[in-house]
Amino acid sequence: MDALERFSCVICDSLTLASEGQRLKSASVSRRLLAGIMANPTSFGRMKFSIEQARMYQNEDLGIRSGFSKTQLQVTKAMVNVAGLLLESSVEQTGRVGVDGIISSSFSCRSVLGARCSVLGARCSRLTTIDGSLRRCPSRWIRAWRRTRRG
Amino acid sequence: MDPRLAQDAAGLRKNAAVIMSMCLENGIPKERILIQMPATWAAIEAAKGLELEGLQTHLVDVYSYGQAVAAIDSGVSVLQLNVGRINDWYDRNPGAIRDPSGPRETQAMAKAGFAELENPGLPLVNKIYNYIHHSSKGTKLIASGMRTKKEVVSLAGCDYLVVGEQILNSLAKTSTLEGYNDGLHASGNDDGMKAAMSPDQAAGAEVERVRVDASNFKDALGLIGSDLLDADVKRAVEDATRLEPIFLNRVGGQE
Repeated sequence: MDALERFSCVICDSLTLASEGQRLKSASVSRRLLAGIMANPTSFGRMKFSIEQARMYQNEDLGIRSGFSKTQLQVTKAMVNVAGLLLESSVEQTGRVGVDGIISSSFSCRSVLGARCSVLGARCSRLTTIDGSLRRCPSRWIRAWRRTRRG
Repeated sequence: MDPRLAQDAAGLRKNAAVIMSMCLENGIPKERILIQMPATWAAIEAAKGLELEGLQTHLVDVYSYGQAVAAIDSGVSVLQLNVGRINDWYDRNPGAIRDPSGPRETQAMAKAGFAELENPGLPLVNKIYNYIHHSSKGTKLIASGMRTKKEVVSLAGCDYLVVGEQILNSLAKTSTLEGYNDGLHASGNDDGMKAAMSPDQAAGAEVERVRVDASNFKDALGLIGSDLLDADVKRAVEDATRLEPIFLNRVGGQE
């Protein structure tokens, strides 16, 4: 794994939201994820609450400008709420959340990164970091830097 | 859900604007959001406009070289291929030629059980990676859907690899030659793994130049691209259609 991570950033496609204590490198919010959260009887309390809040969402101006129905806007709002929660609590400072923005208006959209799992967890090595612009820093550079530091 | 909007680039942009407006309401900076879209021609056009506006786009459901080139040329931030689905398609369509530039005998021998069929998604990732780096484009490439450890390792060097938990565990348990002193090597850094792709290799590689526009996008997709893209879009529409009534009636779940 370490050898592979020297060349590529490896992301797990099946880390669930329940795995606490581990910051994710990136996450992806989709309608399928919303359905999964809603259907889960035991967990995701905060997320369910944020989805519930979206049902109250009303923004007539946005509705008129976009031509979206009230339900479409509310579902989109639910995804954005969940994305915000993920950014706040689970995703690394430099990580990002993908929002599935297409379905309602385009007859086109897919749920998630990777194998249609809801959330992507980071499995990047301790030596590999990704900055805000999604650039990869090979761990050998960091190792070389550490060696130089050690003298 | 109106399927007539499938090729509606303006609709996609409008939708992205709605998302960004809601993100602003929630205090989420736009730099931390990627707008995901399937790589239809409309989405590629929409992505071009969104990227110019400073939004980052992530195109999924890429299954052919021409489709990828069109997306890369339009300046998308992230492009994702699912190599597993590509292989599945070829398995379902044994008549399709896996490697048009390779010897036909290979496929015939594999069918006869004398060789292993290579997943055509793997060289496709390599080809697209080379195109990105050869043309100094800023797009990042994600490969997903790898089903075996061997497939994952053969894509070492790709910007991002989305890997299943089982394979990750297996990779974590696999030892390399790193740290093993066989007395023959002065350096301990060689662990036996080589990058299958790198910016240097890509700079020297020959890349196929194709020009894709609205008129020839369907041809660029090819049979596999059309098949899989349509199936993905259809499935997504079904997901959405199922979700809305659930959303309206049962948000609280069964707690």
